[in-house]
Amino acid sequence: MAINDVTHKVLRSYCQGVRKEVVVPATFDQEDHQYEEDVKKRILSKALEFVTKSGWSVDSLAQGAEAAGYPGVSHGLFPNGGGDLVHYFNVTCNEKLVEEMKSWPKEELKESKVPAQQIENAIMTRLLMIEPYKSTWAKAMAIQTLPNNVPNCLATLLSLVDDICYHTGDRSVDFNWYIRRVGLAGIYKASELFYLTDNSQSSSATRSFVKSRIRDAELIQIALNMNPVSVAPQTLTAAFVTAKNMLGINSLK
Amino acid sequence: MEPLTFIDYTKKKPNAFFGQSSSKTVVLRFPLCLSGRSFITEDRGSEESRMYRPQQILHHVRRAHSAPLKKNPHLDAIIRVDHAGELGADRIYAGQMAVLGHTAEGPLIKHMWEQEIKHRQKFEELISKHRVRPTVMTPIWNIAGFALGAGTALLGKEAAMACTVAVETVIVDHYNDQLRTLMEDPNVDKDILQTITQFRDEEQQHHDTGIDHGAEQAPFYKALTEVIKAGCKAAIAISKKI
Repeated sequence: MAINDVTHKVLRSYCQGVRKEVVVPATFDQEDHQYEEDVKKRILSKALEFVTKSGWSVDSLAQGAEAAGYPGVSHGLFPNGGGDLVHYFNVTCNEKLVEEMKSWPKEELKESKVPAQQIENAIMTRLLMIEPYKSTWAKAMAIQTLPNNVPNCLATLLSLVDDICYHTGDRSVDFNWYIRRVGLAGIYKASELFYLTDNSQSSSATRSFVKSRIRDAELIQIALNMNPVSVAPQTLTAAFVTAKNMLGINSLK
Repeated sequence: MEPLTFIDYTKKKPNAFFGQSSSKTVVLRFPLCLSGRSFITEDRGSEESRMYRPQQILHHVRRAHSAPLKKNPHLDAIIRVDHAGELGADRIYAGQMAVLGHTAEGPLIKHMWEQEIKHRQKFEELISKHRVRPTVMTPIWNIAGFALGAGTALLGKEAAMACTVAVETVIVDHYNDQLRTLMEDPNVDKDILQTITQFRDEEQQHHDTGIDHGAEQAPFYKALTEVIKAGCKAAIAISKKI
């Protein structure tokens, strides 16, 4: 049996008790890695077709592997099982969203104005991509919260939010970068949960939910940017009305 | 008969607790923040070194919006920490101006401050251009820098100059390290190299100005500079990661 160069090197350094890590030539490694990635992608994309029947599980992966021409036990390539399938789905949806956002017309942005319409469109587009799998998506969300899937889930969420912010024109370079992205992640997750139980015509209820959340975010931003001195009268009035409501002596019924 | 091929499956799915390794041994690594950096050996300069592969966990974050194989993996951290440094320097000079603005040193400090402002703006442009995440410590460095500048200025003008000297020494060394790292990459962005070189020269000038204006006469000069240098190095290490 011919043993090739690399194995030979590995054996030799192991036998000689070399302490440093074995250096594998870059090109060999790269092709190998690429080949495995291609195989995995093929299996995962075929597996998505079986999700409505078999859920986000190892069964779908096995059926997908067989449909792609590999033996059913190839689902062993995915140690996280259904979690890997959900992750792949998220990643492809994010990529599709980025492609779409690049083709939208860029509007002129004023400094402190939130581009509400574009953000709403972006979130709705991304949510509607879940539509074919809506019945099983609750299970998928539960799978995402398993500890071994959490890093991947957070990474894709960060990537999604970063892309939406970037393509709707956010170029902030200070702490606002974080505030905007965390805020948008909150809006997105809340909308996703709402969407699961939304039975309205063409998801219009979800759209209005997203609109209200974005409006809330805008109001918070306005409130934070206000000069305390100039709005003191308003603040005092608001505090007074709240106190009246709490004490039950308000005049509105 | 097919030759035995060496396919190392231990590499394929590292989780958060075990790092990647090309030999069959599994090495324990610290499960630090999700920075997407590989924790293997640091010597990427050698031609034969294995292909840089970002840690699998955050693989798709990078892939989503940048071209990871073309971009220098250190570029993000470099721009982030440089921006943090210039922001800190800007606030230090602002603090010094607040105390010493009306004295004879005022115009000198103002001149150095304006140069730092220009440096910071340049790095902000680079952040936008390369879609780098800015450091999360921005508000903290803001306050800490101002406090350091104002504090040393209250100790007297020599102490303010000593603070400048200490900070600039650390920054010049830091920029030199970065230039060395960047030059290892054959297709590095020339704009960044030039920028960092120019800024390093200007920081060196600030250092020399500080020495010329009596930094070494500051009380407890040695102790003061050592403490400030240690603080700066810690801040640099923190901002590289987060």
